[in-house]
Amino acid sequence: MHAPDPPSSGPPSDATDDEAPVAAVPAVVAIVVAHDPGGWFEECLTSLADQDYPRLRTVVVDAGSATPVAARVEASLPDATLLRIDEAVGFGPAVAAALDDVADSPFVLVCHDDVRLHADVVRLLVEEAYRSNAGILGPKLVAWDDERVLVHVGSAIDKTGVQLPFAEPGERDQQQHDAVRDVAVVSGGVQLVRTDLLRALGGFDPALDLLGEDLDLCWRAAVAGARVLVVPRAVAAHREGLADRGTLDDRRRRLARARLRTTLVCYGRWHRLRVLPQAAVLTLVEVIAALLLGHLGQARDVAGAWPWNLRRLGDVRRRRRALHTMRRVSDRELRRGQVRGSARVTAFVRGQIGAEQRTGGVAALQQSITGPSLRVAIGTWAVVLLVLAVGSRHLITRGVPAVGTFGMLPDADTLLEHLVAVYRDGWTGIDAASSTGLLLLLAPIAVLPDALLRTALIVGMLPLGAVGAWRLASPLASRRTAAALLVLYLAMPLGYDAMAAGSWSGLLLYGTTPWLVLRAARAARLAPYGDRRWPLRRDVVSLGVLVAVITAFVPGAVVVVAIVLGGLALGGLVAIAPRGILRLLGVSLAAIGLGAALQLPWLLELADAGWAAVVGPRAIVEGQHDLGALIRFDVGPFGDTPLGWLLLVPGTFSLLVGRDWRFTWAVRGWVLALSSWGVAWAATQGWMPFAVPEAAVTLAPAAVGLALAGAMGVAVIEEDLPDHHLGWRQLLGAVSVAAMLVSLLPVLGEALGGRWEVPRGDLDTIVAFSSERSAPADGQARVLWIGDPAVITGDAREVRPGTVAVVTSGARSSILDSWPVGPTAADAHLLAAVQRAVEGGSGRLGQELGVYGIRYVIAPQQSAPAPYGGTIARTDPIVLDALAQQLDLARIDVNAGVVVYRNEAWAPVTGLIDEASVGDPVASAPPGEPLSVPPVLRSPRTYPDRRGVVSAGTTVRAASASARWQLEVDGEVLRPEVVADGVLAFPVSEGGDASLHHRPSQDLRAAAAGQAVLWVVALGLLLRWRSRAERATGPVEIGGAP
Amino acid sequence: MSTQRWPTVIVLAGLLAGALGYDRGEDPPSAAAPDADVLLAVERSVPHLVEGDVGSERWFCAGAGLPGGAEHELVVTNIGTEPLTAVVSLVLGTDGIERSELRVDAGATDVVALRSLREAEAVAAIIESATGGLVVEQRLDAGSGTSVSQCASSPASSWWFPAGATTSDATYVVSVLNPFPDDAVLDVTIETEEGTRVPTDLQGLVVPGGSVVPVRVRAEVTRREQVAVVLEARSGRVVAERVQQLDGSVGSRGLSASLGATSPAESWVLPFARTAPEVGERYVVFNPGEVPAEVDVELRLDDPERLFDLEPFSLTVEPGRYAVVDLADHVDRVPAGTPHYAIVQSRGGVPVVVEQVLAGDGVLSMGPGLPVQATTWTVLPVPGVESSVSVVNVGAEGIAVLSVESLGAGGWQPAADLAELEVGPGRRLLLRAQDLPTGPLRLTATAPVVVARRLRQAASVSVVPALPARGTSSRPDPFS
Repeated sequence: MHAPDPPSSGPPSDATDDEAPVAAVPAVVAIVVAHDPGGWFEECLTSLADQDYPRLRTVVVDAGSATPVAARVEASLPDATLLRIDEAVGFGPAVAAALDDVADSPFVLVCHDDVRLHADVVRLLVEEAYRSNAGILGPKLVAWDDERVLVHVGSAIDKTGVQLPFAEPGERDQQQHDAVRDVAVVSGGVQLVRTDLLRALGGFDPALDLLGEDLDLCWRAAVAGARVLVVPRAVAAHREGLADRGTLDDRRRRLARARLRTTLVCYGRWHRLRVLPQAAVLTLVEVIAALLLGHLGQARDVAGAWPWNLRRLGDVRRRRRALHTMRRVSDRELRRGQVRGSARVTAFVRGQIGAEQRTGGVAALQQSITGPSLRVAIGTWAVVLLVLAVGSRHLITRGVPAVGTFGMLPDADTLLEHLVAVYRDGWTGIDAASSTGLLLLLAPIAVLPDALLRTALIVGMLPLGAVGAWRLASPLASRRTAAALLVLYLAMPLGYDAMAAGSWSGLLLYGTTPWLVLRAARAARLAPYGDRRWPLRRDVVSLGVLVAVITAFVPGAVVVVAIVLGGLALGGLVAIAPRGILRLLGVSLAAIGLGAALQLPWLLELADAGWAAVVGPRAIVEGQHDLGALIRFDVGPFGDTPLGWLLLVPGTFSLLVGRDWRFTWAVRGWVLALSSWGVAWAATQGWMPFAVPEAAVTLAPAAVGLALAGAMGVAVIEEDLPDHHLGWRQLLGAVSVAAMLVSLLPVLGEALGGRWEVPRGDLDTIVAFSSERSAPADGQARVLWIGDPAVITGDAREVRPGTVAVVTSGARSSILDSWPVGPTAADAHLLAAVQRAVEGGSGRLGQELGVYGIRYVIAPQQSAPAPYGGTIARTDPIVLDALAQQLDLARIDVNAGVVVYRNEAWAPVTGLIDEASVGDPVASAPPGEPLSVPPVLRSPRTYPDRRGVVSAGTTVRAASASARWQLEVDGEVLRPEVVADGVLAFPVSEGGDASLHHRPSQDLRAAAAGQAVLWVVALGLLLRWRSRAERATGPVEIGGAP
Repeated sequence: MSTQRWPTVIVLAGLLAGALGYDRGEDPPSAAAPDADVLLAVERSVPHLVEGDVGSERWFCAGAGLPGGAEHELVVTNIGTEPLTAVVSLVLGTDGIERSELRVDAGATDVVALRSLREAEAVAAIIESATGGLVVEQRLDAGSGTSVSQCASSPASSWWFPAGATTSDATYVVSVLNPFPDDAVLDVTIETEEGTRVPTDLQGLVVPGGSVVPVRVRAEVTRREQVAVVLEARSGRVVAERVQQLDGSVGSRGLSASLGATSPAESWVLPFARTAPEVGERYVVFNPGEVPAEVDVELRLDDPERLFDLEPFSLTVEPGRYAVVDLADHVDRVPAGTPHYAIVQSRGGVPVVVEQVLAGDGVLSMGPGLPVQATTWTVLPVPGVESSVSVVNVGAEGIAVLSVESLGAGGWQPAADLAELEVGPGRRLLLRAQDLPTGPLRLTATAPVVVARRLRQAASVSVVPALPARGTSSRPDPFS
């Protein structure tokens, strides 16, 4: 299409207004769409009145303003034509309504009501329209309040319609963009459009009533062969006042819809087939990222664009057909002009997504990695992500074996059954509230594949810790400081050691402790973390929920919480910076209280289980580590290097040279580290009056503290060293930077392996023995695991120093019974039997175990079967010998990495016996006497119930410490007789179809429901506060032009 | 530095340096596993008693398996203070197990005749009680003599019998009891002076779970005056007992039953020696290792003035072979009738297995030495058998002050005239039968000692170790 012929020969000259012959220029109609404009509206109208273009007429469309704008228009621009539409029909329909008044004017100038045009804008745009034969032209948009700041000089777009503005947010106008150029989109704030083009295109898309209409119009114009130009000599100020008239969610939602709609309309068939799948993948990635970061609104808006457009497919097809008749440019040609790759990803890196969204997760992360030291941030993150991706590649692509506490996740149905049943299968079975960790897993398991979620929960802890470290440093100083903290934290062997040892507890603390420190610092408003000034209740709830989440999965981490909160307070005292300590202590106490409340009723179970069970089997034992190893974080394969001492150098430098807040935070970091090391060391010395969690957990605050102190060294170099003459300080600074980099070498080296030394296989791969002929794998056989705490997981209890045991239902690893509960009398009896056997006081342990359905005794010798390596167990030889002495345990050769015994004196969990009137016949059978207890009710139905057929005159024997079972035979309900601790008997007088049903405790169910409600309330409060904060922030356009 | 910095830095650095200094000054924490390994090896090398009532007891008596029959009795003693009920499981060869119950009063000793219960080619017994205090030995009585031997308190995967004969007048049977439910698979090799015999039918020998299988050595190797038998389990663990019988058709007659040794050791103590010039005294040293062992066989005389008068017999024992010291070949060095005991030590850290053979004049006593010392021992009575006790203080920890208690109706009581007995370093104390009270005895010493019994019934003599208490035993550290 070509520009209309001017009414006179030749283009308008550059002559001044007075000299320009009026009849020689084409008429232009300015269409101003107004909707409840603010005080700036008069400036907009006045600027139009002041245009030096002689044939300009203005039509003001009042699009449903609550207060009609007629009077304001009359006062400021009396010549303007006013068109009133009673409803807020949106931008496109409003312009369409005004088009009737355009008559034969070859150009229309479409304006928002919040723009202020320089006097020559219309003239310059018209001139350029003729000069360049353009269809749509836009001026350079600058900030309303400071015209030295660029707002928009056109955008490129990528294949999915995401805009990549040429001007950075907040970029100063230094005439760097002052060349006329073809762009994909000019802002809808001010557009000069050829009238015939606009009519041919059918105007703006009426479905896009507020945002995204400029993208749609420009793209369709380009399809029709029209050029879209930005004319920087023409300048208009844009207040971007539309942002004040909608919520963030609303804008994000509209933009996502508009992008997808435009893509659907403008592309031909083949490009739709090519681009739409990519757009879907990008949407999925963004949704997942938003979900992981807790931004449900963002996920909803982005994903919601698809169903919104699918519901309008008919309209989309009609518009596509209409556009097809006008197509002059192929999609292939258009694609050449588009940005390669994803502009959304590019914009993210460049800080153009959510630049002003201070509370958004992705955007906040993005915001934190942008700024003056953009290249440092991008470079550091690129290296970090590369190292983590390379180092975790085999875990991501091949899955994480179920070693250590990396148990398998249940599917959503199974998890829900466990939560509802309030019954635990572990040990001898118990009525117990489900652990809070299971409750928290329910939602993610419901929406994500369990394998994907499991991998994310394990592998994702390393990047989570990295992001936390970055966020922790961000308020402190420059991006270089943040980069230093990030590098130092990643150089700490703790996370990788936890990975290699299969310690999810250690990984979780590695991933979350930086966030804990950050949240505590913000709650205490320790400078410079006090900028947000959240209300006290929000600080308490935020910190409390974080504490609750951490301790829900690692209850022993309450020690870490205490170290962090106490260490920060003590650090303030040592640094003689006591401000904020009282608030910190107050918020901490309240948050811990809230965290405890969120753990109810499971907390009561923990109390029954005792502190040792809370800490878990891997508690630090006397003599386990020396102090040097703790300081170097030498608690696994990654810390076993003298290079670990280098981690102390940067922190020492900042302590010796730093000033002001650098020194204060260096001291806080050191006190945090010393507190953490001190607790762990005291435990190894046997000085602690209570058990202390494994080193990978307890040392997490030390890793954060040392990294924090070390990162201050970079801030010291930037801010303090310039004040000193060349000397020892500079030398020490250089040494500390070198130490920081060298300390990374072990991690970089190990990253090449691709799996952080996690074994390639797990014990689940060798438990096929449990399906042998005499051991039905349907819940009839329990398994006793015994050995070194380093390779025994779950609700393990101490047999003797250095040896723990746990009883599970089946031999495959699962997280379902991972958390401790109070032992039952039967549990105690069982544990005592094991202890007696280990002490040499029993030769028929099998019979005592068989009473409770324990079919197998497994003593792992390493965390993974041979030849997969893994943590080598230091199994007490006395324990192994004691097992070997048992006359009713038969050794099964399975794998060199595990010692397995089959219990020949086993009775199934539910079996048939002749009678139950004189106690338990299994327990009272003569030593070595073969038992005859055939399994019955073997088919699991809904957890934990069973069903089958029983004969009259028999007795069903069930090994469970819960008395809340009832046997229903052909409708008749039988109550159990407790014939021994953990053994029930159901004499059956009439045979038939039977169902063994567990009656859940209604009290426990009610308490569990109450807990769920409390969590919903707490999370709802956080989301609500976040949402309010988002609404309170400035205008935001995600991937869209202003 | 500012005045604010100094105290802070000093406090932080002081804390760290002080803790590091303290930590370095500490002894490195002892690793639990190696200690447990050593302890376990000691306690599994000979039958031990569990002090106190910590739970059940079980004993494994592999039986006789003598062709032609012999009276086989279990000697069951309750050293507890309460009556106990034992379950006796008779293992009838490979034909199954029969169980019966036996009540034993506190402090009492009952004798259960196995042969009278069952006529089977091989009969073994597993005796268990749900409470502590049960101790079981066995007595074998054949025409050639009588022998008392220990039952095992734990099975093992290796058994060594360095001494033995397959001469024409000899019967040599090793009874192998597998008390476990799963099968055991054994390899049996026989060492002769000509080398190692690997009988094909004794390779991969399956001993079914809950059965006893006799291994007739003479059927594999005939007419050897000295053979050493080694049983190694490919899988499973067993109890192995040797019965050696000499019918007198060639020389002296005699009967000896004995458990084998379950683990090699560097030091062995043999508290008894021959009592008459007519009785031969031999020491057979077997080296199960892979490097030669330099071994000293030292005889220590009871005469304190001549304690170390005798030069040790120094031997080099090749890997997988045995060496013999026969005092009959050294009459000039060891005057006949000189009371003594023996200590066998391997120099250079190569563990060996040592057996003593006392034979002649109707006497046949064969059995391994004691590779343990302990501070508490229990000596059991055998009805109708006269027993004397030898207490050897082999160690260098000074004088061992010994106290003896006997079990009576009121429990353990100090034995009259047997309090505060002193045993000097390297010396032996002999407690003769007439000096000892009847019933079970408990010997407690202030320093580790080695204790054994010599049981004499008619012409037969059996040297049987006493039972060390778990938790008090260790490897002998001979004083020299």
